[in-house]
Amino acid sequence: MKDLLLARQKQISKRWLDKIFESYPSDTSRFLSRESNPFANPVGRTFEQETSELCRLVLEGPDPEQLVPHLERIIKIRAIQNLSPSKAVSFVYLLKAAIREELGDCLVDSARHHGLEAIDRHIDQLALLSFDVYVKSREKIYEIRIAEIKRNVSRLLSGSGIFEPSEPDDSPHQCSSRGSGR
Amino acid sequence: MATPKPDQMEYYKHDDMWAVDFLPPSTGWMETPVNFRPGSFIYPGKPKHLEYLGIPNPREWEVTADDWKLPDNWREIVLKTLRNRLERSRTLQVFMDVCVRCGACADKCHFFIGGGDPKNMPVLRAELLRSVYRGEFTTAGRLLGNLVGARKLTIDVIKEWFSYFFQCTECRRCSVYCPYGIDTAELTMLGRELLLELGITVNWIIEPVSNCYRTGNHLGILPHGLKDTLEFFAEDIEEITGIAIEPPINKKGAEILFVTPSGDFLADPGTFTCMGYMMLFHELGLDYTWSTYASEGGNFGLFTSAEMMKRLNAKIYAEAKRLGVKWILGGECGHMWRVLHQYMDTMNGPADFLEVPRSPVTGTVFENARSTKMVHITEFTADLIQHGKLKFDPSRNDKLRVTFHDSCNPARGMGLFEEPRQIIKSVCNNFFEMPENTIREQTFCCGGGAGLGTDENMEMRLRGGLPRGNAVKYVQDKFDVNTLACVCAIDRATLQTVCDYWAPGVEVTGVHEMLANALVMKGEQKRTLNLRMEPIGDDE
Amino acid sequence: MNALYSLIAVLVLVAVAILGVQALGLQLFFGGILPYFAFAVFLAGVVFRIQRWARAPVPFRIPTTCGQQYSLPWIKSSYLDNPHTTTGVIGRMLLEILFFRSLFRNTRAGVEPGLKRVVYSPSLWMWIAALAFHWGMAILLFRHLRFFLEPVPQVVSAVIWADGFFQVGVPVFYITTFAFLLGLFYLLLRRLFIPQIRYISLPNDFFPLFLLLGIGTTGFLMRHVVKTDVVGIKEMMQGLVGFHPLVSEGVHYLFYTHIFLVCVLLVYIPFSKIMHMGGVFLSPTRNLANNNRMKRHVNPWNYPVKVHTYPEYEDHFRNKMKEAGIPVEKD
Repeated sequence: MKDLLLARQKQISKRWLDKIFESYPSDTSRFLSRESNPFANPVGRTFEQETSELCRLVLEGPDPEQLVPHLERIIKIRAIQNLSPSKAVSFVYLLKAAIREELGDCLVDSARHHGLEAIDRHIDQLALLSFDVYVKSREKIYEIRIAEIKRNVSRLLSGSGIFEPSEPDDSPHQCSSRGSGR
Repeated sequence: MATPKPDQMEYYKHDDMWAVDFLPPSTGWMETPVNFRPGSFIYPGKPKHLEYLGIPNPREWEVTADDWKLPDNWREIVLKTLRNRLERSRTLQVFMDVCVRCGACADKCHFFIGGGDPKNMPVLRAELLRSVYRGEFTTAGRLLGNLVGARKLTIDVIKEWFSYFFQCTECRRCSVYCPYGIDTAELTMLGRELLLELGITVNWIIEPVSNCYRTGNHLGILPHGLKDTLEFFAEDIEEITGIAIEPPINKKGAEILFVTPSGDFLADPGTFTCMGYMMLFHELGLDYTWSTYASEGGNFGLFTSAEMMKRLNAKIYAEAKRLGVKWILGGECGHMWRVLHQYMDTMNGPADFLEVPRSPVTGTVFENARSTKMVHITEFTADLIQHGKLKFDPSRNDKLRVTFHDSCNPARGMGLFEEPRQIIKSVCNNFFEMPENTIREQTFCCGGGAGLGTDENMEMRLRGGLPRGNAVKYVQDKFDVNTLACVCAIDRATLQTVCDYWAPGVEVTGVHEMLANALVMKGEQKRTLNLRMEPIGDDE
Repeated sequence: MNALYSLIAVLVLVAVAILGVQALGLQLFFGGILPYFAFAVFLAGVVFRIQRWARAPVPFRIPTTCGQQYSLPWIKSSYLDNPHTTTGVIGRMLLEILFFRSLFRNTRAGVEPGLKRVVYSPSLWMWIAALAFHWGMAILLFRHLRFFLEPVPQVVSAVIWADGFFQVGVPVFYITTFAFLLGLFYLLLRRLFIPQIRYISLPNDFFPLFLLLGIGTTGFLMRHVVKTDVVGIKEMMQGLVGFHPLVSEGVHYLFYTHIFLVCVLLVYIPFSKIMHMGGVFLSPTRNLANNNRMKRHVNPWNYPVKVHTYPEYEDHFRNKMKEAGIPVEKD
């Protein structure tokens, strides 16, 4: 089973990538898959590179330490794309579908089916890891957000009288921070 | 029963969840409603700022609420304003009529590239407005509606405008590729003006505007506060160089008025760039002055309305006249230079009380600024370097491996490419360009321009910053680049964040910060610290 | 769907012409009356649109600068992509109008990392197709002058000779016919099959494409398939030009279809995006010099605005300024 999968690794990762692209609006997915310049289309090309690496690692029998950097590069992007958390990491499960589609008829054989279960477990493991990575990315966003606010008021010394005090009704909700390099 | 949403448990019990989840909505763009998700919009402008500035319909409202509390006659207001703006601008008329929807611009927007939302394709952003123009003002549109891409103005359209016109950084990258030169920035400005008539704007723009109107700068720094700030800088400079500097403020009869964005007074790393200016001017013995009244070069009026831009910009010429200077020098800033280069003279000129700028050090006459009488600091400094008037020790910057980010406005609104590069190459030994299709006129925006650089829309900004971050990451991996130089105050604030996410380890710096670190000054002590108070050499 | 509506519309138009001529015998109407009407609408419409644009003020000088500015003598400025003189602007506009400079900008051949093959972005094809289509059409229209002018000017004959240079087929196939039709086909296929472009396409993006395709096809069929009576057509055209319209017997109905579709196009142009042919000359991001700081641009409706004056500012902050030792105007 493993040999069969490894032999078809390239096709499987291609299918996986296509499925990920298809999860974007159709006009976007075409752009993501077609534009080949990595600077004009960083998202598409990053996904291409990293899914192929991930696919190889998963099929070979994954080592979490090796998986994480690749996963990070994808999820970092998904984490800021206006996707719900479940959707942001859902792309991992598409690999299951990609494998089944690619193998198709070969799966009737029950022994092979058994082999597939092992791969499915790897993919589940990948999904759990991706949840960790997603949360890490989101934490990073809040971290840099705070860092930016601090930088922006770095010279603000409390009570120095540099600022004219704002009118008293400065309510905290939906209120922007001062500063930020205007 | 309504379809459950991802944050409800029922959603996950939905049998066909997987099937549904992976498929994008296949509705046409006019039928796809706006989804206001936290992280993707900026908070509304507070009524007190609108009132102070005399903007109509000030009120408390919330972006996520159904009711935006629009005035009863909102439709008439918008249509009347739209008609008026079209009548007084050939630009807008032509841009409304000539687009052939060829799609050349479609994949040029950093928000589309990073986020994938089709409405961020410049052509669709413009169609948001054009469809209403056709539906309300053209016969074909009224008769044939959807068939000719026309629709009526509804409240949902207003919400859509708010979402997408505050998701455009007016960077003009799409305009470079358009066969008719259609400039989405113009349409975004128009869209924002229409919304402003309904009292709709974002606080991160309107609060600085109100501050700037009252105190002279976006941050609301008071006159004595500015003096304190510059004196703090002078103290730091003295500690680093051993040279005492006295910053001149509101000095009548000075030769040059210096204007820079106020972000550089307060926000790191802009502050270091500001210190750089002070050191350069001191070394040259320049007869210049800061102004507390015109203490802002930037102009958030540009992101509000043409009228507001003019109201804020007026202070610069007025102050130059009051102080009796000969000409004006402007610091490193992006949108500030869009205004100074393309709007100031038209709006508040002619500046016939000033003289054609002439460098007192080299005698060079800045012919390219003979009408506006305002010179970009990198033009001024590049001229000094060309004439050998400055002495550098570039090895002080040897820890830096530098790349340069062309800021949108100086790039596509001016063409300022070689001047900053000439300076950078003179003050450091390791300079590397990012890939060709991400610099110069093809440069990518930081994602925080045009008044989007606040923190509540961080996700949106990181999406927009992705293409730039990706190119930085590339030179970081390939050439070990650890420093991103730029000539824009908004960049200095927002690109650091973009780098922290997409290319961690890269620090953002202003060009004149690097220059001041390398500058060999008369009577200075041996430099061991850079302007950030970090040791210069490897040995402590 | 959008494409379908447009296709149906054009097919209906074709049917109208064929029925009108074959069943109702309206040869004179289609060949002698309608063209005057269409031409009048076209002329009046285009003039109206252009003058309306031309009369609108240009408040600000906002060129999109695509190269190094003119600043210091030792820095080479980009004369055509960022012109600071009128000649530079003319050069920029010529490049834009004749060679679609901006469209060319996003065509690049690059080696795709990892794949080691040269990749052309799809937009290179768009540039080629757009050039083929527009230039093909321009020369093709010029060639048509031979139907209107007697004697045929030498320059027209020369172009016709050059266009049929390869001397293939009887009658000779013209190069531009193919350039025009292939370019048109590509532009249509693009709209149909690239989802990104299909998403932004409207029925009125497809309609002119189908219409032009109809015009091109009927013209091609007339010349190469049914080999219609050219002398008769020329007589009719001469009649039109001389304001004594007539109908030549024996002219194929495809000719009337061709003429009818052309008339529809003429009427359609002033109300549509095809006005880009005029608009491109008036685009302020392209047709203005980047000499903003050298020469003041005047905005005709520049009105005075309310500002916060220095005296008001000083009144507000005078005490604080004095305390800090900042000079003030009034004590």
